Amino acid sequence: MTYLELKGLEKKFDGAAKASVDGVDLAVDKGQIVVLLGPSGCGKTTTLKMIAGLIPTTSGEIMLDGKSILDVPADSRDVSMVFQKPLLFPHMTVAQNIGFGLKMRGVKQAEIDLKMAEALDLVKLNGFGKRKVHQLSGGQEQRVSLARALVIEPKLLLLDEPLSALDAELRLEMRELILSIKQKLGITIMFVTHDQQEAVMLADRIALMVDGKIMQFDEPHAFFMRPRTRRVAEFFGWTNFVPAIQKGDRVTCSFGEFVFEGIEAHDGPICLTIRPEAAVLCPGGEGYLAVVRRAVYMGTRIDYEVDCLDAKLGISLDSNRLYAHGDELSFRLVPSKMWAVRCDDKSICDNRVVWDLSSPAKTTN
Amino acid sequence: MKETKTWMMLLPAIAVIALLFVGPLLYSVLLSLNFFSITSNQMIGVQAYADILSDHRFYDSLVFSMQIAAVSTLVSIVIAIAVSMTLRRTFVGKKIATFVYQFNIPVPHLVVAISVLLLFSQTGLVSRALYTLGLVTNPSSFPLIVFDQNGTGIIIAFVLKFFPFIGISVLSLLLTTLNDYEDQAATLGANAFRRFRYVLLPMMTPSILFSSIFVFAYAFGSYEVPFLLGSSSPKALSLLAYQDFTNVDLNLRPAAMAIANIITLVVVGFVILAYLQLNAMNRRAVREQ
Amino acid sequence: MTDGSRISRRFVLTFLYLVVLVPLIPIILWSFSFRWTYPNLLPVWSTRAWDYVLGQHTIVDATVTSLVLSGVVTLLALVIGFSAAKALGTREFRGKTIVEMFILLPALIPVISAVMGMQGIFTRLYLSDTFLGVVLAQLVFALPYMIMGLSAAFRNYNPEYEQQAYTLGADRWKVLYHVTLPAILPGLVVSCLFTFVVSWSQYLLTVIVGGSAVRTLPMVLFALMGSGDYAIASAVSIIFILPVLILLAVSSKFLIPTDPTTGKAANR
Repeated sequence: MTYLELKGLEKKFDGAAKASVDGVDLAVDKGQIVVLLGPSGCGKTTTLKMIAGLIPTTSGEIMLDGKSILDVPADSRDVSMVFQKPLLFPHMTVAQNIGFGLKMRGVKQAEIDLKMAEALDLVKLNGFGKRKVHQLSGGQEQRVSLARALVIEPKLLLLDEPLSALDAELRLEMRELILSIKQKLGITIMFVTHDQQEAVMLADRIALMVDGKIMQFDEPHAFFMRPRTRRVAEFFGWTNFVPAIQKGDRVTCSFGEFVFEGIEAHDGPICLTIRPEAAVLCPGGEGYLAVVRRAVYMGTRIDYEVDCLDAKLGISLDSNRLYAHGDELSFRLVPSKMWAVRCDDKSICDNRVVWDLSSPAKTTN
Repeated sequence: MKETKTWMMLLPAIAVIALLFVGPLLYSVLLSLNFFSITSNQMIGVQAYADILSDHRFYDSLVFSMQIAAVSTLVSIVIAIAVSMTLRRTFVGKKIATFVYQFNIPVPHLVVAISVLLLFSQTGLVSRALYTLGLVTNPSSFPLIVFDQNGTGIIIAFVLKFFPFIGISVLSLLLTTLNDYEDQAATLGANAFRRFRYVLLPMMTPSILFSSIFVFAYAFGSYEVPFLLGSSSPKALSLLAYQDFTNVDLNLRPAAMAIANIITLVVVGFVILAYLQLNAMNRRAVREQ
Repeated sequence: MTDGSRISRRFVLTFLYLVVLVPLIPIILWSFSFRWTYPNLLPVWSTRAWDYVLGQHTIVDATVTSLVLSGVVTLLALVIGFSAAKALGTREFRGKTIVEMFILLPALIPVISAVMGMQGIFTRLYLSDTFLGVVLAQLVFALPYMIMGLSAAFRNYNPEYEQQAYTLGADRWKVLYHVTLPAILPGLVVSCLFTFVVSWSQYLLTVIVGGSAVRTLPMVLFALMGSGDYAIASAVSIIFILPVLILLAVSSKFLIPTDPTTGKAANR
């Protein structure tokens, strides 16, 4: 059942040319983790801060547990937040930091001590109570920050890129911790990040946010199978875009005709999008004939840019066979790794290869 | 290219201060102990100190200077906190207000003292304004603010200069570091007052303390302001020292030095406090790197 | 924003504007007065004070002396304090706090404490009652401010830029001119202006060390206050504030609008 609901949420800062948050609709169920994913500056932190009550909204509605919280001040919302920096109060001990929220709620000291110890146990920092903030490492600080946010048993926990400042190993540890906490406490969580892998690992549902708007709100696997628009596809590593024509649930292009069940009805030009893993080598020469233009060795796989049927494609093949510039290869495409998307504001689908930003081979035209 | 050694970089400044400042301070200590007697009938020793410490005017002045310094500093701190807390929010006219806030910082104390005199003396502008309103009939019915026994005029002049000085660094702290901490405290359920009491105020305190030490030291040892705005008795300690120093009777030189050295001692006490404070701040800054 | 806090903000702002701007009023009015007897709210207008101030060579001379003196002191402070400021702003080292405290000593210890000893030593060195003597005396009191200001500017500076330049073949002076100075220029300008104002405002020091040989503007002002001619004193006060106003104008251009102090970079 819906626990947190955002309706038409908008935020336009004074003097800004356009809105930072441009009409966001979102419904989060109780006990879910929803990840707000998007590139820097897309408005996700602003959205979070509006939910927390730290920034006033320009328009729209925020409902928590069935009631509007728009007029409720930040300190009464029962929504706690963990920021990118741990923000532990430096003049207090770890115990005092964790107990702060409880103290604000008038809880008696004895009970604070009890809950504080439980919280420390939850984040695996038992016995750290007496330590001073400056004695902690970065990862420990962030765990204390988490404990501090959880000990007050909030209705909603907001996390604003809390792991960005940590090194890779710590990040993995913390993700596991967050998942286990969610399971143990059944708490509703909204998590903001720009890291796609992090989103996929943590989320029950992902909301992809670009330029202040939600592009797609779905379970993680849907982004790898059924992206809604080209922007979404590009963000999730759908490397290839080929102009095509859609009629009903059939999509036709130079590579042939494909049937996509359940695709949004739209008769007219569309973009066929193909995952780089969709290509499978055809030894016998059947399949599409392609000439290699570029090859980048990635370890277990090799990323190729090939010319095929007057389109450029980016495909990823196993690394047990090396093709070089100018070589010919033939491959077929696995339909389950293809889909068709609209080109956002572009009516014409331009054929470009868009690699993952984490890949060394960048976009080519 | 080899990096310059740190001690070599520090040397010119340290040398200048050691020679031109610490040197004279030491010389003044020696002079006060009669090491270089100008007249031959003085013995080396602490006679000068014994003399002034038994003079009640010295105590009156010492207490007076302490009082002025303490009151000026405390009042300035309160005003600084109030103004900075107000100025941290965005509002129409914030830029102008911030500019006005900083305005007094570089204005010379002399000019501020003159303004206070022209405003608050019994024939000053405020008195004239009250006269026009019918609240005052002649200069002597206007309360004695400047030239009074408590140094009120002096305190006003100091406060006008000090509160922006303390407040500006507090404001900068509020606008940068403390902003996020305040947000965090809000999400934990602290209302505006509690955010101030439990988070903002404790975190501002190091900066306030540090600025206050400068302010207190200045107020304690200032010459110009108490001279212009003070009454003939009690005199500020620095005036006492200056009097003896410029006296035709050169035998009073050691006494002048002695008073000056006692001023130095009091200030050094506070400097040590500043050292401990700065040390703590440095340690925290290194950790955050 | 609650009504209560809106009211308190209005109150605080009114207080601020009153407290800072009202003290300027009597000075401005007095400077344009011929005679201003009690209990008149406005003076008998005249520009006699300004005619006097701008025409009289004593005041013009004093202004020039002050300008030259403070200019020289600032320049010297810059040259002497530069490397120390850089060390404090870019490096960490043992005993750093003690060094900082030592450098701050002249800013903390009142002028009266040191000036008598200074005069004594300077007399022996034949420096008292000389321009050079005053320069040296003021230098030591100005140095902490220059170093504090510059080191704050250096705190945001990355010395690796210099190493980069060295590998490209630049020598020490080229690096200073092309890399270091441009990077800290805003902070440097503000520090110089601030140091200038510190030296410009000095009274006691110049009186005791300079004696009759050096006559600066604050000394003239002080004497005028003693004479009781508030009109001329006010006019001179306004001239006296002029460099201050320039400092404020320049520094508000250089500093980030929401961060009123030098050094620490403001919010992202």
